[in-house]
Amino acid sequence: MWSRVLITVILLAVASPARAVLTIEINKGIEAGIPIAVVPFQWSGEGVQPANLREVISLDLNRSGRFESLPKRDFLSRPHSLTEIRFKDWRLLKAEALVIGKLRSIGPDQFEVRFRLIDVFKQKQMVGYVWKVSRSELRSIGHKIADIIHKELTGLRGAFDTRIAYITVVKTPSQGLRYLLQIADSDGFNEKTMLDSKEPILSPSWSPDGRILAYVSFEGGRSTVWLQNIKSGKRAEIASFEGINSAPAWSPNGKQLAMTLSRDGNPEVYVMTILGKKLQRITRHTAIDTEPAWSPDGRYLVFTSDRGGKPQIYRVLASGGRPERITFQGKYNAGASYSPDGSQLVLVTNQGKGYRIAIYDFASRSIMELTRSQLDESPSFAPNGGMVLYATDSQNRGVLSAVSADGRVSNLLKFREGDVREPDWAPYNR
Amino acid sequence: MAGRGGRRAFLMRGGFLSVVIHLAIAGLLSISLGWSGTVKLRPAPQKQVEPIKAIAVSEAEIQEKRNQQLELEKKNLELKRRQKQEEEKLEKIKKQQQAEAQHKIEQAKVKKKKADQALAAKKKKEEAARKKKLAEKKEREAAAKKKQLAEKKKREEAAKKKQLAEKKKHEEAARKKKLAEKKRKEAAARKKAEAERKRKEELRLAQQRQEQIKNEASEALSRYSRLIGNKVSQNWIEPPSYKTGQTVLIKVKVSARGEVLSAVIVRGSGDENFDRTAIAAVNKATPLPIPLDPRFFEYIKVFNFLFNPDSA
Repeated sequence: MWSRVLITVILLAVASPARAVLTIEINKGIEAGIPIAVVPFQWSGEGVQPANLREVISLDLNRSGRFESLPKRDFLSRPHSLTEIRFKDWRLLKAEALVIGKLRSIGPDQFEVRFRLIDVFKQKQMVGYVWKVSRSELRSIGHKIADIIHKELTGLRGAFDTRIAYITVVKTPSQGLRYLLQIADSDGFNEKTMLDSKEPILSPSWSPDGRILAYVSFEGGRSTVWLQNIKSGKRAEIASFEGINSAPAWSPNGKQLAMTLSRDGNPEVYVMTILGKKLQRITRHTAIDTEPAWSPDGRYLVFTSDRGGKPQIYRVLASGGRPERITFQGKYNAGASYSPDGSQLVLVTNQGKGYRIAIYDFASRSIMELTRSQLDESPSFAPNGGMVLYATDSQNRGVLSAVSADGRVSNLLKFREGDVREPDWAPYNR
Repeated sequence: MAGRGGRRAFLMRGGFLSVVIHLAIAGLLSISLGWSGTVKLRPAPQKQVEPIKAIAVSEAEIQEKRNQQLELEKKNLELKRRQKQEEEKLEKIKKQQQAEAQHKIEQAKVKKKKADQALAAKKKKEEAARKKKLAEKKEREAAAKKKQLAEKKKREEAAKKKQLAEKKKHEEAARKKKLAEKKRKEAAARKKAEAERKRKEELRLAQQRQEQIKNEASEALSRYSRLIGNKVSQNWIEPPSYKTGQTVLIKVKVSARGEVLSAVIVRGSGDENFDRTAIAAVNKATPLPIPLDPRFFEYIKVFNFLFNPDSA
């Protein structure tokens, strides 16, 4: 990503010759991760430390593409407090920032986490925090720390302390295929199963407040849209019309669901009020119209339609109206959703080299591929817009991957077993 | 100081003189006091005269006694005669004595008169003498006073003269000193001006030399600026929070080997994160590839970086 450097030399013509100061202009930097040194946290307590916070933080930061967590084998010292820091050690590594901390057992299932972020060149602490938490919350604290670092060093909010939902397909010798609706932390850890079914489950979608999942389940022998409360596990059918009931998408205010229904014969996009289940048909076309998604301001819906012969992205007012085609580049563009700021779409494209994740930019009307693989699907933005979560194929197995929004860095999320598909990144609220 | 010392000496002399004068006046006063004491004269002593005594006798004795008496009478007569004689003699003596006494009184009177006269004369003489003396004293005093006055005047005049002379002397000395000082100053000024001229000339030459070095240094640094800029750019991770129009001006100080000694924000972007990335970029780019000619160091040890992504 290193590009042309333009340098201008300005010799200030000042009356006094001694005061002419040379100014070198820097017009371009590099797109790279900020080098950061995360020192292993000092553990004081019995046995092995209950969580490897350095690893949680480092992997989060690296996955974002905005950071480069320096390998700990290069560290010349391992400070845990401000007075132990030898700044020279970190300047030599060209680390812009240093993370130090302590993890201490303070009671039965109670731990104290201390963390400091230090600017190596200013030789100053930027922030420092102390938490008292239980063992099960320790990884979450690691994500919170990564978020704080992200905010401090990039000026943008981090999205590490968030969750994802996805479908896992497991093959069992006795029961054949099993479909699991699961949620996990943004790094794939702390996995929980919300629903376990012999029939397919599809298209999980987070409500804007992060408390309810909408999804499609075939458990009754045909497709039905369900809503399920994350905390209580309670669930309810919301749409089980004749034909297809699929692709639910929450409106930004959480009061409506857009979805695809074929109750009128052909798959069309509808908007349903959650209270009252009032339906409004949005599209009317003999082609397939599906995969609706809301713009962040709630004004528009984008959807996939093959009315032009090939699947492409269209946009329509959420109140209904005449759809306009958005994508023209490539023979296949589908499964679009908006970036949090509304300026971009993330979608699956096929430009002739396979199904890849790409960003469509409204301002430049251009599509930029983010991935290099063949079978990528179901992309969704992290709530800060900095990363995209998607499903891909790895050694004939469905896995989840996260790529930075500039495409520079992508990382597979590790899952223990099965095919993992159809992920959706949750909003900030939980 | 000298003038004040002289005046003190002068006052001491005047003091001494006045003491002398006082003593002289005191002497005169004690003399006139002796004169005013009274002199008393004693009268001469007088001579005393003794009386004669008679004795009685019996008949037989009368005869006898008569006889005796006769005798006695005779004797008495004789005695009487004698007595008378004596008395006469006495009278005579008395008279004589009286006369003598009278004479003596007369004489004493005369003498007294004479003494009185003499005394009077003496007194008169003395008075005259006293008067004369007083007059003389007065005269002397007047003379002394006159003399004193004259002396005082003389002294004053002398002092005045001396003062004047001293003043003149001082003025002369001051004038001479001033003149000398003026001459000295003029000489110093000439010398200084000469030195200044030389110094300025040397400075001008030095400046000329330095200007040349400085120009060469600027030129060299300009040639190197692409290398320096490249190194900083390669270390600059552009902030994702960047907004159009933001720039950061950073002043750097480098060592002779190009090591970044300090990098400080001269004018920030308003975005703390942008500022931070720029500072980090400059620090990470250490050592900067600056021209290593030691003559240039003075002119390239401080320079600026302007981070201006908009003009890319």
